[in-house]
Amino acid sequence: MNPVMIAISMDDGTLSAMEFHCIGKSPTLPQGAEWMSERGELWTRAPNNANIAAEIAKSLPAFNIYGDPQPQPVSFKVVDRAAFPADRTYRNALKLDGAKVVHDMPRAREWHRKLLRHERTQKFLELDGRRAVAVRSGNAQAVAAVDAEAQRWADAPDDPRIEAAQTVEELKQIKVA
Amino acid sequence: MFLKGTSDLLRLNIATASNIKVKVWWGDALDGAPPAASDFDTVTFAAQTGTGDVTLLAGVAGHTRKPQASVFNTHATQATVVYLDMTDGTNAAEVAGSKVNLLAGESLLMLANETCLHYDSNGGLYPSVGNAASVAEMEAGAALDKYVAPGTQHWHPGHPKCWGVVTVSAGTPTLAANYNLTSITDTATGDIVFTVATDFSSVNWCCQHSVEIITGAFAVATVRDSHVKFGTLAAGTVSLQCIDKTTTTNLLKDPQSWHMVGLGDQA
Repeated sequence: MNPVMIAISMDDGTLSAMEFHCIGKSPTLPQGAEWMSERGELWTRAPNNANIAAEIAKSLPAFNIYGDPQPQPVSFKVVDRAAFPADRTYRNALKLDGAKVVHDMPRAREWHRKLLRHERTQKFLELDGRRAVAVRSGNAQAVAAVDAEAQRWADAPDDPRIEAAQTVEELKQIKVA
Repeated sequence: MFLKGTSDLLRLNIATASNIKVKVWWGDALDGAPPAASDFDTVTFAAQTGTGDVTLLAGVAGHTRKPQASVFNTHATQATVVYLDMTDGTNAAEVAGSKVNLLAGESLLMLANETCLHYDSNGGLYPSVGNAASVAEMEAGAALDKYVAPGTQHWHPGHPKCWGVVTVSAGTPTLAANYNLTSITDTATGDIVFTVATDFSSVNWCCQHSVEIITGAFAVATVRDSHVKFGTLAAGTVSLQCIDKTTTTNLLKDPQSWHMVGLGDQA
């Protein structure tokens, strides 16, 4: 029996994807499982609600070992593996919509801004170096070019195209020139 | 074993319906006289497909019969527990060492002195199970007079208790191969939960992990490092995180594949 995919909606708005195994090998039986042979080489378990709920409760505990609260599952649904988008660029913006796994566009836009800010941090370091060289050489034109590029990066998260984008494919096209 | 009266019976007990062929041979002597060559006999039974007791040989009044028996499971797939016993019509006693789980193709041989030998389907003799290390002995890891069986090897302190390989080639990660894991959970980019089937006895277990880089180039955006997520090394689960090397705070990123091994004491 193939593993079953479970889409789990979390209370922080994120989506977790569990690959629930129905056949396995271990010294003792997991929740709801039974041995497939007398010698106990393999076990099997049904992907029913009770077994899935038990697996989710174990996998996503309410607190970590230091007592810090952790995101908690709100609901789950058995879905086809193909329901998940193949491209994981905006994986953190996924949500469950009925039986479909779709992108939550407000979260996708915020994720895109986060990626731009992260890229910008690196870019600023590089631009600082180029600017220092231009200043030392007295090349005002080069300094202006670097400043202009730095400004484009500074403005990147506020690019109005981000808010206007209706799909993640549109978002992927928005880059700093 | 001797069968001396008509109430004395040598029997075979079959627990699960399969296909058991039995052969019995014996020496038969009048009481007080040694057997002659003509006093030895044999019988081969038709394949036994039922369960319960099968009488293999009965005693004869005034005679002393000394039997031997071979029991052969000829079924293609079905295993069954069998044992030999002797009854005098009132009390029955199992022949020591005769109770075995006969897998398909396996056989049991009882010699005249009641020594029982269990052969596998290749004709190999099973070692005495009394010499196999118990779980406690495997966990102690100190015995020098016990053998390690495949079914108990994993209890040794130095033996991995769980492991998994996860590929990230499509929309969701895939647990491609594992031992003692029940699921993986993809909670975010570069963040995954491994759930163990048989838990560790405490949170103090060693999680060895690593990840596969996504390209052949060692650019800051393509190299990958794995970490145990803060506070998640529990007795039955662990979360791993994977980051790149971009400044100033590394970004959680998916690797090409995840690898983990757990060592420690199990519950």
